[in-house]
Amino acid sequence: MSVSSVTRYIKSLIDSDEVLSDVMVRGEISNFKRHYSGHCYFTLKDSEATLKAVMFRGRAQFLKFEPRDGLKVIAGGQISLFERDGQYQLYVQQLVPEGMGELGLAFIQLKEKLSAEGLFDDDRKKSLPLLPGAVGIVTSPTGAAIKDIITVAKRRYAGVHLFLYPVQVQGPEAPTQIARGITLLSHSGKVDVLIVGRGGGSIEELWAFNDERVVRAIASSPIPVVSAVGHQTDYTLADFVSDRRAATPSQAAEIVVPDSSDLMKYIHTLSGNLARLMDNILSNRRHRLNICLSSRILARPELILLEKRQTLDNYIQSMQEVISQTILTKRHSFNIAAEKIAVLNPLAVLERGYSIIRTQDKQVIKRIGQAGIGEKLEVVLSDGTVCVEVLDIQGENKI
Amino acid sequence: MRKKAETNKIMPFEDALAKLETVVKELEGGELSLEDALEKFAEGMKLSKVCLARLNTAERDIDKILREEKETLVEYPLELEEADI
Repeated sequence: MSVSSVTRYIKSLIDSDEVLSDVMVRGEISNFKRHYSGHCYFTLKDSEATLKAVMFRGRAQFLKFEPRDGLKVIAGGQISLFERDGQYQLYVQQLVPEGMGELGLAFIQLKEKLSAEGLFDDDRKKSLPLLPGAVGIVTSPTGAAIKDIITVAKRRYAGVHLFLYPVQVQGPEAPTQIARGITLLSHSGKVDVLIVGRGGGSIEELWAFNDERVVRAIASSPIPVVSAVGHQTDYTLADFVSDRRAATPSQAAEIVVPDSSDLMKYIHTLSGNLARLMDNILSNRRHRLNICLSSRILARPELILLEKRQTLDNYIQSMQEVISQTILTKRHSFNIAAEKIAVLNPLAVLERGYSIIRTQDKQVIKRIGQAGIGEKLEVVLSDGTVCVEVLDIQGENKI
Repeated sequence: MRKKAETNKIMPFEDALAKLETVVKELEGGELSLEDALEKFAEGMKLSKVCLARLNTAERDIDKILREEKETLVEYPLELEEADI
């Protein structure tokens, strides 16, 4: 058999072994090297044995801690044979400090599962109310956390109502209690927003906030949840699923409760604006009104009357003129007519020396044939009548 | 679910503030009749009073500790000094 075929045979034996295909190994890191390619090579050892290990870049880039020599870890992965060196080694998929123990692996696995469900997605995040009327708090009734939250919240906004659901924040009962508190408070209708957390502690002490029940209770809260698990560096799953993450309980109170004096200033500004705008509107209207009031007509309404009176006077005057003109014309015509009449007056003819001769029964004599000799006739003169007797009658006038 | 928060039934602060901002914008627009402007102004002043009143409340003894007893939430005054469990 060639070296290759023997090696390949051994490799196939190892690869077909169920235990070796998914194994978790506890040990201490030594000879740790991070290759420039990003792959990590190291040896796991305990007091009696060593095991070569490799973690490829695809997994190593997600490491939450910096592996170093001497660190006790738990490495999960598959053991196989590297044919070139004839060396079996652990191909590491997961690597956590032993401090977290199996919990650490469970954490990573749970995180991946919940993340795949979309529980940590940004579009699930709810925005916080500007000014919460009431804040629910799920934490220990005895720790510094609740004291800090109360102090900060009340300092920023004295009117905020706080509802504490007291729980144990560590120990075996903690996850159930915390999850229960979140569910009850978030559905109680009493509060607008929830703070869930505790003061700082070791990873183990914070572990309840990595519990799936707690994470799911936060995810199904109808109101926004702010996590405040007092640890600057490590994120718990509660931090990932919450709508906001605060590093400390005090900071959570600052995030949830606004500084009411800032808000007051803003509202004073708004109401000041309101007053100023109303002033502007009023003075604008007043100005327009004044323009109208100062117009000539409204200032001296009698002018309208005067104008009318003047017009009336004009009419009256022209009427009078028309009338007197008419009278003059009529009088003139009358005079002419009167003169004509005077000319035609028979009495006027008598004045000029003519006379009218008539019989005694008043027949005017116009022809000699109408008179007879010896007939008595009347001669009408301008100032009276003369009675005469016809002596002779001759034809033709001799005058 | 018998308890429908007595504190939450008044107009939420955000709504009052948003309305106040709207009123200010409307007055800034200058399109309003005098009657409407006066009405909006009065509304705005009322809203700002509502907002300020909300901010100024400093009630004491309003904070509660909630304990579950026989499937219901029971409220007790929140007094930390005595709560040394």
